[in-house]
Amino acid sequence: MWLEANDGVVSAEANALSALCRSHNPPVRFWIVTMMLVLVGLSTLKLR
Amino acid sequence: MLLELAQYFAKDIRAFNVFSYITLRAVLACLTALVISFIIGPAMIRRLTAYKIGQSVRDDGPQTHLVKAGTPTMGGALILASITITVVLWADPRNRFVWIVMWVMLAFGAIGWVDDYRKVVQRNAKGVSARVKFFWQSLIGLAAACFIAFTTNLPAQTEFIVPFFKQVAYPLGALGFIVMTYLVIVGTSNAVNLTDGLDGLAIMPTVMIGSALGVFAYVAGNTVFSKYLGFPYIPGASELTVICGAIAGAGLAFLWFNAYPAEVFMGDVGALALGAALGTIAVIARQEIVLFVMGGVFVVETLSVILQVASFKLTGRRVFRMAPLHHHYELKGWKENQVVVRFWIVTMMLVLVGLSTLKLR
Repeated sequence: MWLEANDGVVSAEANALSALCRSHNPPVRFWIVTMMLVLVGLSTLKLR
Repeated sequence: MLLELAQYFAKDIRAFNVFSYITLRAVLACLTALVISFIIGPAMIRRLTAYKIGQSVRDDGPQTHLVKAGTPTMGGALILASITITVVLWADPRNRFVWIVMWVMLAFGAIGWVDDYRKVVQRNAKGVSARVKFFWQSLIGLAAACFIAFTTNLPAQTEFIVPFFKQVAYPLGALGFIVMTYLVIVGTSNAVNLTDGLDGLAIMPTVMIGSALGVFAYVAGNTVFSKYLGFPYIPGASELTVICGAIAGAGLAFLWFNAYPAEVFMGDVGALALGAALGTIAVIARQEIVLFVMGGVFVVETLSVILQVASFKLTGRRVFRMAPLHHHYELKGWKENQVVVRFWIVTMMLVLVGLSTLKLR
């Protein structure tokens, strides 16, 4: 999906994507992924 | 299990000795619990949905919560299954502290399970009565307290440690220790349960406090670090770091499904069990006051309920717009996500204050 906005009017696609993002709340899941990666990074302290 | 396997192979291949390190096993336990929860989580949520094990929402609560009705609950079973499998895999089965924490956690989980089952499957709105639930919690808490008290072999294991003061440690004696342990385990369990009212509100503080307690348990069980930091040495306590890793991993994976808008709730089965586990770990590591500080959100949520009920019964007036405290802020106009993330931030600050007591003594 690509977004387009003309003369300040946000397209329906953008609205739909925005609503989708709000309803599924990706930030928390991105935080969890980051935390997993930090753990993998920390494990390299010992795993060498 | 894997530790014994690694030790067996280490006789021929020295590289397997790396698994003897508790720190590494704690990190691997965290990742293992994450992966297990991610694998069985979706299937479990589908099953709970199919069985219509959905949460009923209090009709006197905030109106915004009515859309949550029907969201599957008892997701705490996922956390407990994931922690148990991970601990069996990575922890040292010869360590008695591991057994006592797991036993307390699963026993409190069983109480929560029966309560949830009656409420959502048998449609019995009251579930297990508060009195019966408290009786079983007390029985398990007292049994755990007696077990720890009568299997200790060093006076330091029953001393009451005061943070920030290196020289202050009160010997509690067997009876004092049992009473203190009982209060901490049952109190923490119920406090986490009261906090579990918004998406992700209870689980993230549990993850943060569990991780911090893992650090304290590691220090308490390490001769060098405990001596250096002025903590009582508690042989075997370090192994609890592996359980703390598993709690953090399983909790984070649960948050994946519990983040707003939640696909599943943990229910009493998760909240009571995780609270009891945190309380037991804090007692074994001799860090009751630090748990009280780090779990400030749990403490304040509990106090808000006590104050609200006491005030209403004594004066007929309410202190808060609604108790527990998170509902008060919702009714003040904060969005659910704002309440949750702000309570996480407060917990993070309190956990940092707790961790600072490692050195500031």
